[in-house]
Amino acid sequence: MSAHPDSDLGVYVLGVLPASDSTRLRMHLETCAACRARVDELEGISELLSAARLVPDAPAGLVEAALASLPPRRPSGSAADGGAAGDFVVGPTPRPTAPSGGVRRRVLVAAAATLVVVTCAALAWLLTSADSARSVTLVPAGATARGVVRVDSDGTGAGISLHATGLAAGEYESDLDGHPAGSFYVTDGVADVELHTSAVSGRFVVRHVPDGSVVFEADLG
Amino acid sequence: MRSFEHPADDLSDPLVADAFADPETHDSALLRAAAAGSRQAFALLLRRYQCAVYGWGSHALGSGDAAADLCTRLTRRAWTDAADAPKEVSRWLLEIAFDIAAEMGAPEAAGNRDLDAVWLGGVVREALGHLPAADRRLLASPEPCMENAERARVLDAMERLRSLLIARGVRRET
Repeated sequence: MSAHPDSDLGVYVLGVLPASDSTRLRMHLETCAACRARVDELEGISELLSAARLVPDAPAGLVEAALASLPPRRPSGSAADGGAAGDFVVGPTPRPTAPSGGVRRRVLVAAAATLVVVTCAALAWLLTSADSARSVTLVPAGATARGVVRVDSDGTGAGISLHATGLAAGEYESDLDGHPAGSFYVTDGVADVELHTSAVSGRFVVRHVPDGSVVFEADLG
Repeated sequence: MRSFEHPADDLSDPLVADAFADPETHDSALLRAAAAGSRQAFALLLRRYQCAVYGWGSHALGSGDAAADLCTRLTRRAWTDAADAPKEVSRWLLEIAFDIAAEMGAPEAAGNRDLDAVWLGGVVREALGHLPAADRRLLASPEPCMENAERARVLDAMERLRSLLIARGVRRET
């Protein structure tokens, strides 16, 4: 089989590869499943480019004008609900006081961590108190992966919603404070998974199984 | 009570600003932040779809003014409903657009596949805006007999566009 003609694939699907090169490429595609798959994928992009030509430009300021008229909205899990206001919250859900009726109220706190880091993650925790939120500075260390976590814990365990991009393909495993939180498989660089663990706090770690590297690491309190 | 907060709206923090402004930040991450009250995240999300909303509205409702009205209504409704939104942002916003179009007298817009294509085209158009102008030109009007370096650049631009579209939940249906 001839060498993969990588650089020709884009112009080929756009229909502007010169005829002689196209002939050679088609011969290659007959015997190369990897390049056929790549061409198939790129043809999808080519079709989408055609779709973009159907659309007029939106007037400048259209969304901004609409946004300016938005009413304020309290976040779910706001301080009034016993949770933390704002977003990009990292940490366990606060434990609410049970209502007098004995009905346990579950508090959901939007939680997220970004740019959590591979080799020299440094989390600078600022002042916190029993009734105030804690700010977190997340320091990246050159990782290309980015992630957001949302944690809902109820004292007996934690549910962790993880969304991450820029991931290498392969299997990943996670744990919270050493307690397994589940594994998942990434094929296209994106992970959008629900994890669960019996721990409620501690260090949350996501490892890339094939090479053992830590992709995400965050202290969840 | 213990909780740890990183206010997403503090865009003076370059790390937060970068995370939000990165065009490859996934829709669902922006939606989560928007649902938690971040206007900046919501604004970024809506800007991603302004071409789709306006383009779709122009075709479905027959005028730019009506499309602008649709955009305003959709923005308000999405802000109100963000906490209950499903993960697939594009579909969620399109379904809001269906509802509003019906209220505006165009119930037939829902399920019109030609209009779905317009919506998708709007998403792609916005994503293209994140590519360098030279790359956009290469994709818009590629020419035969390109040198190898230019051919490679076309491929890179297509791959970059693909990444941007994945972040917007667009995957090719097979």
